[in-house]
Amino acid sequence: MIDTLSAPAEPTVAPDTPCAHCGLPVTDAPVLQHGHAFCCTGCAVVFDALSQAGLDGSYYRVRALDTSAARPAQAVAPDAHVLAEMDTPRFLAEETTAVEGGDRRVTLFVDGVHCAACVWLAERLPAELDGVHAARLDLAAARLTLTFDPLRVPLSAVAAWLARFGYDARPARQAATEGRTAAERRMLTKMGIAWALAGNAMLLAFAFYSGLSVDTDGGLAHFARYLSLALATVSVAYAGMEFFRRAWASIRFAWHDRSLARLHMDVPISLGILVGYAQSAWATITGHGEVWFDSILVLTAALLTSRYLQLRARRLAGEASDRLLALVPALARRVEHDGTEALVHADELAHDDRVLVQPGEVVPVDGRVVEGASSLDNAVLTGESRPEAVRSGERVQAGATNLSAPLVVAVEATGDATRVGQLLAFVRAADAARAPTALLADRLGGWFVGTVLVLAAAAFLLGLPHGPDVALHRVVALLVISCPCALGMATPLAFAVGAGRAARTGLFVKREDAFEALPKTTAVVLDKTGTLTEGRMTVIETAGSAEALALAAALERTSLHPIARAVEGAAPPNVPDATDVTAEAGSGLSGWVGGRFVQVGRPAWIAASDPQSLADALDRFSADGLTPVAVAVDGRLALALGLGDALRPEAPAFLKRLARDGRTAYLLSGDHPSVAARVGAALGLPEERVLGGVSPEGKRAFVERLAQTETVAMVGDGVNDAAALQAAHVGVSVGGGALAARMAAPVFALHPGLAPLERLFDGSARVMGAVRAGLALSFAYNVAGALAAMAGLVTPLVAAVAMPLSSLAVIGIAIGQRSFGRATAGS
Amino acid sequence: MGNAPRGVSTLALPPVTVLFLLIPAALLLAGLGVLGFRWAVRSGQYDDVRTPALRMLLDDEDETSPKPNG
Repeated sequence: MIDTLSAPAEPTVAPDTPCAHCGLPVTDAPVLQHGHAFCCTGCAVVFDALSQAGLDGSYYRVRALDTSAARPAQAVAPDAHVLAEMDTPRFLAEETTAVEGGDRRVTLFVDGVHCAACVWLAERLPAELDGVHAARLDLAAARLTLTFDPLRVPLSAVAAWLARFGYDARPARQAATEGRTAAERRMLTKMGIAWALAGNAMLLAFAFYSGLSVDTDGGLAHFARYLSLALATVSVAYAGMEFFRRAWASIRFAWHDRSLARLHMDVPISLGILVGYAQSAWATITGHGEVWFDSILVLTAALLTSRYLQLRARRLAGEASDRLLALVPALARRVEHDGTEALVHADELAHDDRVLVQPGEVVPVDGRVVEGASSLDNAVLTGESRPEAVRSGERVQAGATNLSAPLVVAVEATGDATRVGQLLAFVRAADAARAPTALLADRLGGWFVGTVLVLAAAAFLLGLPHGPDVALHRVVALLVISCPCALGMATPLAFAVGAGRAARTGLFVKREDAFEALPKTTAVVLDKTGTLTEGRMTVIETAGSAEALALAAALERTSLHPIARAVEGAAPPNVPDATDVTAEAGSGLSGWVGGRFVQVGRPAWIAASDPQSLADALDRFSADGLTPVAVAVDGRLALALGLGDALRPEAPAFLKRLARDGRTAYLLSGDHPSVAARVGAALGLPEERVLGGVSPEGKRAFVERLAQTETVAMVGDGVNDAAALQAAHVGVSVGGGALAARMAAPVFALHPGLAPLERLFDGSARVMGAVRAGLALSFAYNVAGALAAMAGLVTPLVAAVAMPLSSLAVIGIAIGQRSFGRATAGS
Repeated sequence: MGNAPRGVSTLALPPVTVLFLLIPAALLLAGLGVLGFRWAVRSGQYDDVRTPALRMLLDDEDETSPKPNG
């Protein structure tokens, strides 16, 4: 009876009703507004914004047309610093380019775009905001290119407009992507020209295959041969150079090391192209012998295509990781000598300048607190999920989030000199220095060269009884037909297709060797905060009266503190209003609710121990590694809460799976050892594989040590994991965490949680299956081709048919692989 | 019947002679195609191949409010 009265009078909504905005089930806590049911406030806000702007009809209609639509964006709060930075003259000068008429052009990364309706909405900007003249969205790269008049519309207004609909717009720092785009365009042009040359060479070759011969139709045959020679010369010199350059580098490397094993696949490819070209050119000039122009040109073009696809897959993953934003805000509030504050670039700060950090903002510098007391969320740097109280005189580090009260910090280090800056600098340096791991196919290169040379010698000896001409012909035929076109394409194509599929499911693989290393992984090192756990405080245990929870929530509603968020989240939806709330930094809140005095905070601060049962509960929570929070009403304990970072629901199943696959799991946390131990115990991990209180440098050292004996995959989400992600054989960063970790990881997931990891392990095993199938097939082809050449059965026509067929078969295997989207879509 | 037309026989060239002209012409056309392709790549038309496919779904641009700028 009481329950039904206290519950708000709402129309009943079934938990599986689709949300009016995103279409996901609203579950049992729907947000009801204007007669629609939403799964969360974010969706309700976007729905509202769309209908107020009169855009809802078209938005939802266009979205319904796009079947690839995933979950749409939820409302986001734009970062005030990012907005402020966008309007500074320095930003306009550095990050935008001038176009005619005084307009500027800028590229923004827009997080949250995913379907046709997003394109429609973003490209409506010129119609909605006066001063924006053109808007173009590149959906795959999430880049929005804007032309706008800075005098009529500030860029921050554009970002704020996008944020209303759930798109988080950030400036795209330009340099990196431009280099990649230019390289990709060059390769695409090269590929197009190679195909045009190959196509024409094939047409000319058709004449020879249908009977045109130098002996019967002298003039025309010579003419056709010389034209083919001209086409082939251009193709070999221009497109073939791609392989020759790398082959030469590999030969020099092999020579330096005196090791044939150092040769990679480009060497036999170049050998085939050059020998085929030289023999054909000789035949053209002397007027007798066979020409192979069409075969080697098609081969060159096909190989360039696989290189191009590989480059493109890499660029898409690279661009996704470019969305990574500067973790440390570029702007800081400097307190001037006259007491006013000014927004300045963090790199303009000098030692001992005073910087004001408001609650909710990220500390921009390493320094010492000179004024104020607050609590900080250091999770990004240390992985410690509990907020840490700071007072005047104590050190703070860049990257920490200020939670409760304004702080004035005296600057000690900025930019790369900060601890987080140093970590990132290490990651950048390691990334640049890391030699690309030779892929499976490339490792076969030296072996391949050796075999081909032995076979060529055998072919020459076997052909010698028929005369030196025949012997030489067989050698050339062997070298051309066993040119490892299919072999060269098998790996890059399978990887490019796999990476493309993975990207569509929100997994970005930046380096192909991750596919090879993942199935071989024997040890998986997992970060705790944000990876195995939700990464935020929630109420895990309670003891005491439920009414006190509502009273506590009334107070906590006024605070930004993560503990406050957790208490509010655990409380029933309708809480009374609190008055006269005062906050004591690092201790708790007190205030009046309906004539009763309520205190919420640290047990020691509340200093009430009555009734004893609740005080005991608080002690127990504390011993379990939870953060105890006491609630007192009128000076008497009413409620004991144990707060902690809750385990992700899928974590136990994931660990079981790892064990079943024969992989050893380790838990590594920067958080307090008692907290790490609690999580480890909940997951059933043996104690020796659970390490708490590990510094970022310690994590890196641990992974480096482990990597000497095992193939290590490191999974993490924070800046504190970045160095360890870099040190592991495969670093995987999971979504929802610090974007800086994405830079360090060759693989990153857009979505939080462990489900992407399972897909990653399954998917990469399948990709490697496709790679091996492709390699096996091309080996079979090469063996058959070599034997046929030794028997003298290979003519230019046979080569022209067999070589593309083998490549097509390999392409078919690569495209037909059942990895990622393919395998999971059906289930 | 049996008599070849006089004009052709006096040329004394095989009938495929025209290929000497047609093949270079075909190559020239292919060259133009390549130039066109190069232009398309350089102007960025291959940079994003997904969004334009979706853009055709957006056809009601001017229903709600006319664009102030083209």
